[in-house]
Amino acid sequence: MCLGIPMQIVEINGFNARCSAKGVEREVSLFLLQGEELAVGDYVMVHTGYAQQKVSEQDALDAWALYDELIARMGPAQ
Amino acid sequence: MNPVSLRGKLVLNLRVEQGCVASVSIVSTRPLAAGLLKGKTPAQAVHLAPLIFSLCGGAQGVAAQAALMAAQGGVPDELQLANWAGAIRREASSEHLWRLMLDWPQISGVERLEQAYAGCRRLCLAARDDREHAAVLKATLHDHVLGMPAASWLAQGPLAFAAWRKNSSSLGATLLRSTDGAAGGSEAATAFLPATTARDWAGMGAEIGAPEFCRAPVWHGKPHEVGALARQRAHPLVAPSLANGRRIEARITARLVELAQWASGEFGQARDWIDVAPCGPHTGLVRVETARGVLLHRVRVEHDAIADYAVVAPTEWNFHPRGVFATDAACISGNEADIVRQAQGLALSLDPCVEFEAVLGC
Repeated sequence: MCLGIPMQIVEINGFNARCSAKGVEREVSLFLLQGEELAVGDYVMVHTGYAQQKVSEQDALDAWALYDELIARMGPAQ
Repeated sequence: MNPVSLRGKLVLNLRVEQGCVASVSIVSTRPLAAGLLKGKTPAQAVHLAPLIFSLCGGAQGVAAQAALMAAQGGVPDELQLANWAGAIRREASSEHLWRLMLDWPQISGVERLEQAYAGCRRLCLAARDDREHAAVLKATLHDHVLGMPAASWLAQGPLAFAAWRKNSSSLGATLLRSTDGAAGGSEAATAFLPATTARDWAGMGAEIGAPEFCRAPVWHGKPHEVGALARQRAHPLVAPSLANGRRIEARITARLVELAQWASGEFGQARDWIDVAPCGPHTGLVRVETARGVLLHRVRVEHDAIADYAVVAPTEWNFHPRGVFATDAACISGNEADIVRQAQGLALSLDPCVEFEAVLGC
């Protein structure tokens, strides 16, 4: 299943952003979200290096609450 | 585990003997996440499904709403189905264009149309109805993909289409030409999933909810190819390349055909894209045709909480261990770099919803 990963924008440089989730950072392209108002601290759903959609902090937290459950079920070895 | 890698990926292992792929094994690290919705209320599930399955979040959100409606004894009216179908197609068009304007150019050595795609995607997803959607696609296809009006492109006979394919400098024709020389497909080609209804799937009962089925779905005991080619395989612009064994070209053409049809106002019936059926006590099933193919949600509700939730996604069909990727990749030959490149092209033509990697094994 194609899970979207919510990440928080840490730094914006043109159409590129450094985003973070659970202490892991990634370079993410904001190119597809031109026209959206995006700022450091906002949350985006990321897929294959592109931010696809801006989401609220609450939505990001809701998604991570589920993923934390999933990670706990999968166990540390996976 | 690294939380960002939670989404998983497909590792396509190719064992090569004497310059030919001798066997294929597909390893998927994607979790079955639908079970996370268990215990949530129907309203929470409708909120969470499009959020966590966000790549095709529109289709997933519609599927969750429709399946839950059926589970609670509801029946969507024609207007509701038409609205859902329109939303599904708008998202599907942005997915098809992503492949055509961003992904295929990258592996074909053609300039990616990132700026044009970003604008078109935004407009497709913002379109309020089929008319606005058609207008966006009409302009995009003319200016960036086909180089001619979509309706005229669709109406071409075989000779005109061949001339366009050979001579046009448009992205669409360039991509089709880039598939020349690609491995065709095995003689024992994987069958296409026929048109189905939600009732057909509901008739399979609880089998659809089983994790084994969700990971490796079958229809009448066999894996099938799903997606644009399965839907458009009989179209006059698609059928010839399919008949000649050029399945990758046929898959690209099928996407162009769907986009051109929508740009021309040919949307089909709402039930071509979505329908629902009850499938047992407090249990509903929805079938949605997404860009990548058939998507099934089956949900059981008890005491206003999700008791079971299963999702069967299109990627599971096309990357089934015995499915179309595995059979078609077995026809690839060449040096190692060629084999990897062709396998990547084959995988891309099947449009997996997660990252993938083709690797050579021994």
